[in-house]
Amino acid sequence: MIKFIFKTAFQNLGTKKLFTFASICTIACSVFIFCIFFSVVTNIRTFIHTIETTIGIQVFFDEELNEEEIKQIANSNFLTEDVKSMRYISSNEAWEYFKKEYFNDRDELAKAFEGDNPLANSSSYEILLYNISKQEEYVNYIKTIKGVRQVNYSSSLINVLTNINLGISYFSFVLMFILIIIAIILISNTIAVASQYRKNECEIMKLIGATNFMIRSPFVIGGLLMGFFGSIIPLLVIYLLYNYIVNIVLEKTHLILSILRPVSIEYFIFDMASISLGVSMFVCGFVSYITINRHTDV
Amino acid sequence: MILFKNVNVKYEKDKYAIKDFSLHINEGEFVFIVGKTGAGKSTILKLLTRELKPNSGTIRVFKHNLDSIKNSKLPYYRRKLGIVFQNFRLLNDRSVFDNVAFAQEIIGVSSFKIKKRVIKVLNLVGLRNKYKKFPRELSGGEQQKVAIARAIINKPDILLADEPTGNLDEVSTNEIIDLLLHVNEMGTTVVVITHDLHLVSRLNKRVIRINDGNIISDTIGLDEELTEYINVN
Ligand SMILES: Nc1ncnc2c1ncn2[C@@H]1O[C@H](COP(=O)(O)OP(=O)(O)O)[C@@H](O)[C@H]1O
Ligand SMILES: [Mg+2]
Repeated sequence: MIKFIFKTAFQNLGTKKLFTFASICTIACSVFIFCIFFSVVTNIRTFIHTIETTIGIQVFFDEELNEEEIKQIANSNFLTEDVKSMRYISSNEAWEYFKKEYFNDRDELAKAFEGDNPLANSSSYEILLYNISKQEEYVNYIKTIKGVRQVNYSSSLINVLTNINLGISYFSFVLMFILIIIAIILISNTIAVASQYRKNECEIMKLIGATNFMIRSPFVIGGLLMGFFGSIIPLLVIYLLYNYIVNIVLEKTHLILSILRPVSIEYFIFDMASISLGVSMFVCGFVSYITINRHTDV
Repeated sequence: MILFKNVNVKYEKDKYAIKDFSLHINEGEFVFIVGKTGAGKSTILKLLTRELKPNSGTIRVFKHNLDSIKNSKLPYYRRKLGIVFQNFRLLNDRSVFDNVAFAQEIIGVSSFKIKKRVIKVLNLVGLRNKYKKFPRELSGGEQQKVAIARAIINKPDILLADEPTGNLDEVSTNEIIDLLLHVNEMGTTVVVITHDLHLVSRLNKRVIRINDGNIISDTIGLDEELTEYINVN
C-alpha cells in the first residue's frame, strides 16, 4: 500500500513534468535565499558576539591621576547593571602587550625603548558590557565622569554590521515572501492539474472502494516530495560551495580580521537544514492537501 | 438482498429518470436489465454504487441502507461490488497486470498476494500471456476481459456490468457472457445491463425491462413483445 502510494505520487509528478519542475525550482530558489540569509546572519551574529565578548570599551584617564585615584574613580562610577566585567590595565601591562603584538617579541626593536615605557601614563580600564547595543549610551555616560580623558570603542564596525544584518533580513524576507507565494500557486496548480489528469483514475478508485486517504495521499506525498527536493538541492549546493564563497567574499572585502573568523558550515547546517526542510515540506504538503481536498470528494 | 422501494430520481426539475421504481434481486441471481437508450438503466447502476442518491425511496443492499450509509463506510460497501463500466475505463498508462492489481492495491493487499491472485484471475479470463501489454495493444474484447478481471479480483458479492458487450463482435460477446456466467456459478450475483436482445434471448435468465424509469416487465427470458420484436428483425 505504501509502495502504491509512492508509485502513484511519482507518476502524478511525472505526468506534468514542466509544472513539477517549475514548482521545485521556485521552492529551491526560496530555500536558497533562505540559506544565504541564514548563513550571513549567523556569521554577522557571531561576529557581533565575538566583538561583544572580546573587544571592550577602553577608558583612559587624565595623566596626573595615579593608580589609586584611577581605581577609586572606576570602582565608584563604572559599575552599572550593563557591565559584565572590567579590568585594570597598568601602563606596564599595556606596553608588554604592545611589544608582543607589534614587535613580535623581536627584542632588538623593543630594546630601542629600553627603560622608557612610551605608554607611561596610559593605564586604562577595559570594560565589557553584556549587550553591545547599550554601548553608545554607556560610553556617553562614562565620558561625563570627571577624570576620564578618552574612551575608545568600536562603534562604527558594530553599527555597520547591525545595519547589514537588518538590511539583509529585510531584503531576504521580502524576496522569500514573494517566492513562497509563487511556490504556493505553482504547487497548487501542479496538484490541481495532476488531479485533473488523474480524474478518471480517481473515479475508478472511488468506485472500486478506495478510501479518501488512499485517493488523496499520493497527491499529498507528491507535494511533500516537491518540498523535499526543493530543499535538499539548494542545501547541498550551499553545503558544497560555502567555504569557497566565504573565502572569496573575505578576500574581496578585506574583512579578514584576526578575531572575525567565518563560522564553519558544520556549526549551523543542521539548524538551517531542519528549518528549510521542515518549513518547505510542511507548506508543500499543506498546499497539496488543501488543493486535493477541493478537487476530489466521495 | 438488493432492494429498491419506491425510488425516484430526478436529474432535472419535473423530469424523472427513475420513477416509483421497486425491485428485488436475490442472492446468486443472474439478471439482465434491458431497455432503450435513456430508459434509466445506467441510473440504476449509479444508485447501486451510491454515485447517486435518490430524491426519495429506499435502497438496501445486504444490510446497508444506501440513504443513510456514512461516507466513511462507503468504500467498504463498494468493495462488495465489482463494476464493469460501459466503456472499459482501464488506466491507459498501466499494463494489464497493473490494471488488475490496482483494485487490490487500493484496498491494501500485500504485493505478494496480489501477484498470485492477479495471475489466477488473468488465467480465468484467458489473458495470462498478455499481462505485460498496455490497453491500447489489446482488442476491445480483451480490454473488456481485463475490466472483468479487475472487477472480480476482489471477490465481490455482486457484479454489476453496464453494457459489457456494447462495442464487441459476436465472438467476444459470447466469451464475455461465458465469463459472467462462470462468475455467477461461483456464487456471485450478476446484474448485466444491455440492449443486445439477441444475446438475452439465447439465455434463459431473468430479464427486467424498463422504460422511462419504470419496470414494464419482469420475466424469465424475453417478454412476448420483445420475442416478437426480435423474430421480426
Ligand atoms: N447527469 C445527468 N444529468 C441530467 N440528466 C441525465 C444525467 N444522466 C442521465 N440523465 C437522463 O436520465 C435519463 C436516464 O439516463 P440513463 O440512466 O443514463 O439511461 P440509459 O443508461 O438507460 O441509457 C435520460 O433521460 C438521461 O438523459
Ligand atoms: Mg447507459
